[in-house]
Amino acid sequence: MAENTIGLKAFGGYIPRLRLQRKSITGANAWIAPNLVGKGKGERSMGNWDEDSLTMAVEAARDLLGTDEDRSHIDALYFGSTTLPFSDRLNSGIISAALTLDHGIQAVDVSSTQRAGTIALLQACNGVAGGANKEALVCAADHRKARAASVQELEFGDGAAALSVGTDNLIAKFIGSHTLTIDFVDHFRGSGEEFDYGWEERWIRDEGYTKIVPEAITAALEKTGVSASDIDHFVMPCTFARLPQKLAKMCGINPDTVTDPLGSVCGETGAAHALVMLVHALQNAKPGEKIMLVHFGGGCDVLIFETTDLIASMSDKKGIVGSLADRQEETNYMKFLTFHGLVEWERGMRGEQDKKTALTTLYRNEDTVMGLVGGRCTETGVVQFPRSRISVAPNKPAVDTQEPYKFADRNATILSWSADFLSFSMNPPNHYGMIVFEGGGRIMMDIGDVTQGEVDSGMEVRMVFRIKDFDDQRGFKRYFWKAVPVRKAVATAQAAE
Amino acid sequence: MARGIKDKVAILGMGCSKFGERWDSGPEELMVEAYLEAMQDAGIEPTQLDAAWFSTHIDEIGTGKGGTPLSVALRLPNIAVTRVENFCASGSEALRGAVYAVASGAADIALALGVEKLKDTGYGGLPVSNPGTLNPQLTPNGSAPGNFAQLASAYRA
Repeated sequence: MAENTIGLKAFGGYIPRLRLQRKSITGANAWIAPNLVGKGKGERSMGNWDEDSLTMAVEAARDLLGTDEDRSHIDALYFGSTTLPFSDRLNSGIISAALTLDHGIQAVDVSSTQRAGTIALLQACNGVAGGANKEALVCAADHRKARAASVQELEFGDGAAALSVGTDNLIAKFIGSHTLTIDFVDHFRGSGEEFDYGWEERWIRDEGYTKIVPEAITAALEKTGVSASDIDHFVMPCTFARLPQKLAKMCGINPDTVTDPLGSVCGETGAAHALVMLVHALQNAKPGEKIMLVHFGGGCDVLIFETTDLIASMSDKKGIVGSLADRQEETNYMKFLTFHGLVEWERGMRGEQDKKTALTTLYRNEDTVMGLVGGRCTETGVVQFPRSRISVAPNKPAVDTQEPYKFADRNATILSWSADFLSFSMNPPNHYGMIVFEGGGRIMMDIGDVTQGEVDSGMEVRMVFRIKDFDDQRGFKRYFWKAVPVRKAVATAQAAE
Repeated sequence: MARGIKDKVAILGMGCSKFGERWDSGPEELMVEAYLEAMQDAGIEPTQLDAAWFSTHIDEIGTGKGGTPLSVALRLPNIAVTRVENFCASGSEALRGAVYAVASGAADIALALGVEKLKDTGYGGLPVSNPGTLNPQLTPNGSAPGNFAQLASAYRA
């Protein structure tokens, strides 16, 4: 089959470091929701105040792409999410700008269903299979809100995954797929609404999952000629305990192949979760194994992949395994509510500052702001941020000699810093400082993902794409780059224990 | 060749408003207070002023822009008022401008006045403001103490 020549080339993953302990949620809400106390086990991922689906997708994509500056091989970008920051501004276009992808790429937002991630992946496969694209980058991320004291608040998590689809150097071949489109409304979120509205669980389980999923799986197996018993990894997001095993068994698939839905360590990351679980499965897979990916929602998507020998080449990726290991326990439920905008809190008058963004300025400085691209003087080699017509080189301020110079993937350290309780911050104290880059250049910038007492001069940092400011008056979000500590040593130490 | 200002200019008189929270006064009243004291100290009349230099930094919560706030508050005769701004050094910029005017011979007597009224924001410390349209998109939302505090960590490093 022609489809066999396409498949996955690489993966990336991102789960925010903060892991809210579920017992912090259930403990605080026990007075009003005693029925949920039993669910107070494990932890859920929780984006920091400056993270959303878009910033997480960028991180997952950067994990996939690595530090190679040449990204011209990507000619399509798909972004699947039900929590797109903008209703009318191409969200995948923002990701593209942050990743400094070529303007010539085709960028697509996929939304409106929990299957947005798998639909994005399928569209990418179709685009490459049809010859329209050579290599497509697929990102999926979700950052869903839930009401306090709801089941969703406990079950949801934040996270992102990225996959690239192409025709050569495949880590997993795409064997085939089947999709059912059925308007089965297990839950919905009306346009402009903040929260989901769900129907009875028994009905969703018995009439939804149990009837729709097996139909889709059976059709996919028939279509591809793959035998049910050949499936080595059955990957299906589902918050009903043991239901994936039951569905697998109904289809003749060994229930022992069902992979961990990551509920206890991450929570369900919405439209991203199928791809998050797929990346997790790929990190645990051996060459020549068949992976069935299933996602239910307004029907069902089933995709089948087979890993190749090249799967071993991905061992340096952080992926989902590495992201899960890089964690910080959070027990402050109020912080979670505040980050999610569920509490009217006192920001102080300094928090009233108008954060209107001049769009003209943003556009003419697009690669500076979105891509953290500075300049290098072609005569002296001196690098600087931001670029300017006259070079910063003290002994030779040459004019119009600057060429673009990317800072986002360079190692850096903190030179000077402040932990500022005076200026407004969503997570005080407000940390910022002078960041010095390997190879030259320095930027006074925000420092993120840190707690008081943690920052010091000489600390190694890396760049991350984050929300800079909210303009609540106009519904705009401003994005820029921040420095966060390099936690490689911490993650390695944890893995070694 | 530059000859400088040494021995060319004298300060005739000076005045200073009282320090304090000054809930009773706006920048206009503070300007008048300092001006009247300086004029009395110098023993001159407003009609003897040939030009004025005026400085203020955070105009959006003080006087507003331009040189007119000075001429309006002091009811100056028809003389030129130049407004200068250079952060905390704004006052010395005003003095320098006035001194240069006298040294050059363009004026016999010039007035230099700087004013800042920061206590009308509802909170303590320097007010927040937007430095242009690009900087807020790049630079941290810091504070003056937060920026100066970095000297310590940089020195230690």
